[in-house]
Amino acid sequence: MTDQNHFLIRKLHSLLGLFPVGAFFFEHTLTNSFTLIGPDLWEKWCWCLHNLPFKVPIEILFIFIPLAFHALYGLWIVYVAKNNALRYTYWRNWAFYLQRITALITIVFVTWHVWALKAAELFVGSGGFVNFHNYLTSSPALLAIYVVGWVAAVFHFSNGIWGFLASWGITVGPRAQSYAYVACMLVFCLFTAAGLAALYQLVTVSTVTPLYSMMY
Amino acid sequence: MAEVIRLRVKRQDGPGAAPYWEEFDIKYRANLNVIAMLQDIQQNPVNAKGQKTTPVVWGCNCLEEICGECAMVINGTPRQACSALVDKLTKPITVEPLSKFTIIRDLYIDRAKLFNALKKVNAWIPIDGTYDLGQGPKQPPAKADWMYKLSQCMTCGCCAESCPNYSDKSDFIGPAAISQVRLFMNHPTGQLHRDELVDNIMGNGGIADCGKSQNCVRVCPKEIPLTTSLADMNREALKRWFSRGLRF
Repeated sequence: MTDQNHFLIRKLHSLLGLFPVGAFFFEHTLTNSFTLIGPDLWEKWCWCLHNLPFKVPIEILFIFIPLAFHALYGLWIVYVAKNNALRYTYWRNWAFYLQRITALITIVFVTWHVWALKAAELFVGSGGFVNFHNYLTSSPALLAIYVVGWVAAVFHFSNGIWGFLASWGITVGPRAQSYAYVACMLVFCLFTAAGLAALYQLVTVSTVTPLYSMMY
Repeated sequence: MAEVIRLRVKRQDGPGAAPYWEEFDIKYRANLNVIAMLQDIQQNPVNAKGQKTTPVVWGCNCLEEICGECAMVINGTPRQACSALVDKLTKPITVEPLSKFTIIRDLYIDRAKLFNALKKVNAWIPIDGTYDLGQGPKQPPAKADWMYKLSQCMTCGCCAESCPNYSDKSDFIGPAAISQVRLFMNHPTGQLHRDELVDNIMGNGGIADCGKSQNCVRVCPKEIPLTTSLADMNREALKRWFSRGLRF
């Protein structure tokens, strides 16, 4: 029975990385990108998310539990690998190594990010954008951590899609896998650009233009 | 004056003993390979400093890249010593034993772990009987072609050596045994045992432990499409998992 559970656990780990953790990451990126349309719209969207019906059960069932499982079992996977990227310098082997490095960075970053922001309650009430602007510009080190954490999470996500496609036998041959790789690297570029643009917006814009003035 | 080739050998006097490096100067001749260099040392065990030493121990059988026995790490890459031609190698030449296995002595390793993996997954077709079973079923040539490629696996251990998930920290059986399951479950006779064969790679150390670093396919001396085998067996294992769980 433990043998059968092993297959289930490995596949569950792989699946949860994409649904719902990856899906939440997509939603998060989209939410960040509202800053590009306008700080006011971003604030209103955040307000909607904070007042979602059944918010706490949704957060626990669709974000916290899957993420915790993916992270904790992932730590075991990181532990059992004997990395040899310096000896076998093929790019896929480097990607294997980076997948594990970015996993560790993302775990530390996300834990700190969630803990710090939940504790600070920056988004509650109005003026969330300015609060967050002040928070991000308070120290260059903090901003640098955000950039590193974001890029690490994006790499882990986009390279993880490639891994998922191979692990689930969707891309079997080398040609299918190289097409999938190109697609995943496009995802990497797109998500990196979106996240960094949102950070740029949050750092450079310090005033909120009311939404109605943009609508007319 | 004859040219001399420097050979650096990572040696070890027994299982668990401390490894050390020893260098040898081998007289060059046309078409020299690493096996012939080791044979030279066997005949005249004198190192590059001119000191008498013990002959370097290694394993080999066929000398034509068929048996897999002489796999060792040559200039950082796991490969067969018999097909490692000196003309094509950068000098000095460095040879080390495969690091993922118990070293019996010098370059000679205990290959039981590789054979045990094949036994664990039943990588064969049970056709023994008490009477003549007759001819096997026919198969289309196109299928026989790609299966022939898989059948060239000689269990040399190069794929396992390069695999970051194959180590004493994990139970992963390695790419070769999984590729063999793909061969036998697609064989017209082996198809009769298809489900059992897939079951055998779904446990601890099976297909799900592949980390997709894809070193295996890069170092395989027989150029077997190991990553295709691994992804295909991922698909087969998932189909089997759903079938096992839902069809009753």
